[in-house]
Amino acid sequence: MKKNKKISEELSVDNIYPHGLSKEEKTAADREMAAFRMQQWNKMTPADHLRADLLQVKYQMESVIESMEYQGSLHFGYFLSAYIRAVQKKQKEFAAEISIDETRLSRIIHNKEFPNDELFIRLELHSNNTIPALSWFLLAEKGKAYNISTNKELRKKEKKNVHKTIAKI
Amino acid sequence: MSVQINSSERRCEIRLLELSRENRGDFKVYDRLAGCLIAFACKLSFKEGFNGFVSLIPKTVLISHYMRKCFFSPMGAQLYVDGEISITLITDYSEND
Repeated sequence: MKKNKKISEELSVDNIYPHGLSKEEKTAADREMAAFRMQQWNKMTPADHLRADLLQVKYQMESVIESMEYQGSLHFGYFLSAYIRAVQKKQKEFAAEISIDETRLSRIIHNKEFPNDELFIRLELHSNNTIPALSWFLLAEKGKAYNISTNKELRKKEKKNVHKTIAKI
Repeated sequence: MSVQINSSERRCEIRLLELSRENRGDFKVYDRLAGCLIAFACKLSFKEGFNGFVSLIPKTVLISHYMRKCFFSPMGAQLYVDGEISITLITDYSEND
């Protein structure tokens, strides 16, 4: 009896089993949850929405950084733009807040210019440490690494600057 | 673990969570794995834009356990976490491990 109780406790700590409700019971439970969820969502304050939107950007960035593959469209500029939307700023207003030229900001957003270390730090400070500079840096580096390993045009262009190569090994 | 993303209700539902035998009981190889998986679901919910809302339907005997250990709140037959509590779970189980 004691052993059975112990096993049950262990299972309770480590497992969530399928609910075991009938189809009708599950539908009723889901309907109740949907109404409750809508109520919860409508009760969220602007501060709750801001936090949720910022964390969405932060965790999506982490996913891209941790992923083995690089998806070209999810570059630094994409997330910078998402961040500006999350904090509900216009580009011009945001550029002024972090003391960066608006044209340069636009170039970075459109992946035409590589961000520098100062920008990573300014973004960390602007987000009040919610998104660390390291995440911005790793994201930018990932894009750069992808570009370096796939840029055929640059290879073609730089070939004329290398006058001699070593023998093939 | 099996998680269903329910976009229309802006929530993730944990349908199943089960640890292997060697990670259960007093002599488990890795500790706190169940909490880490729940934290993973919370993070997924934030990534989807659901404010960390995660629900599950536990067996009746397990309800108090999830309320005590993972700060779930009851809602009818289901339990849920969201917002601040989800952030706490992510910090405690995912970022500190």
